Amino acid sequence: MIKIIFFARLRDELNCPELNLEIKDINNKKTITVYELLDHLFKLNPQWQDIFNKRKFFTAVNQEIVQNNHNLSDGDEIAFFPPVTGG
Amino acid sequence: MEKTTNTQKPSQEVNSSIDVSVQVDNFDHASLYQNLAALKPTPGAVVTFTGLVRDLSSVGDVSGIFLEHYPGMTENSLIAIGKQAQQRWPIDKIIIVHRVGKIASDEQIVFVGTASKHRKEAFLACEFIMDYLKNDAPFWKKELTDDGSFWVEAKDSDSQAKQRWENKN
Repeated sequence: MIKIIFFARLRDELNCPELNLEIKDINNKKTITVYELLDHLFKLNPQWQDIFNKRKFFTAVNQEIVQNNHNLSDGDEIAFFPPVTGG
Repeated sequence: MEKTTNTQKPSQEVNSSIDVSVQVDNFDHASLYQNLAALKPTPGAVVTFTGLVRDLSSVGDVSGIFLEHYPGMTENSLIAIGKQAQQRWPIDKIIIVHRVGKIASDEQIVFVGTASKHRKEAFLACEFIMDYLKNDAPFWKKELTDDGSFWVEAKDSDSQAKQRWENKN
């Protein structure tokens, strides 16, 4: 299972704090890229595509920033969030 | 440049001189300063920065803010920023405190303190840490007003402030 978390404005707009998925339910391989995960999420929730496309977002896997060609495996925690605004 | 007989510290020691706290409670500036000033041998310079919640922003009067973070990643990000500062300058100790949750206007949000032998490194490291924190540490700020609450947009001026340091190396 992979855990997907959304933060801040992105979470509010998607109206979804987190969800869990099985990679094997997305395709028959043991791994998928972040791009493939997003494609899957957009198929499940077509309105999400516009929300992701309209603003910049970052992806972290197991709490490290990654590019969206990063390969995901079972047990990973994937977070999507807007540009940071602390301080 | 002054001569120094100190050899490079091993990396695990470098980490032990960075204190990071992400907390709901307000912090006591005086005791954080004292923590740096009381180091032995006595540092020649302590620089502290404190960020406060402004009561006015582009959306009008702000009664306060709400700060969200990514538990675990946020703390690790602050430690990584502190380590980068220590790789650039000889800093004896770094303290970074950042509040989360609801914070009223005029209250303290963030503290960065640096202690070193001489003032220049302490000034530079303190500013470097704030510039990197603004761009890299996973915090998200929402402004609370009478007309509702609004997520704050990331500013180009903040990313330019970080870029400045990257151009220097």
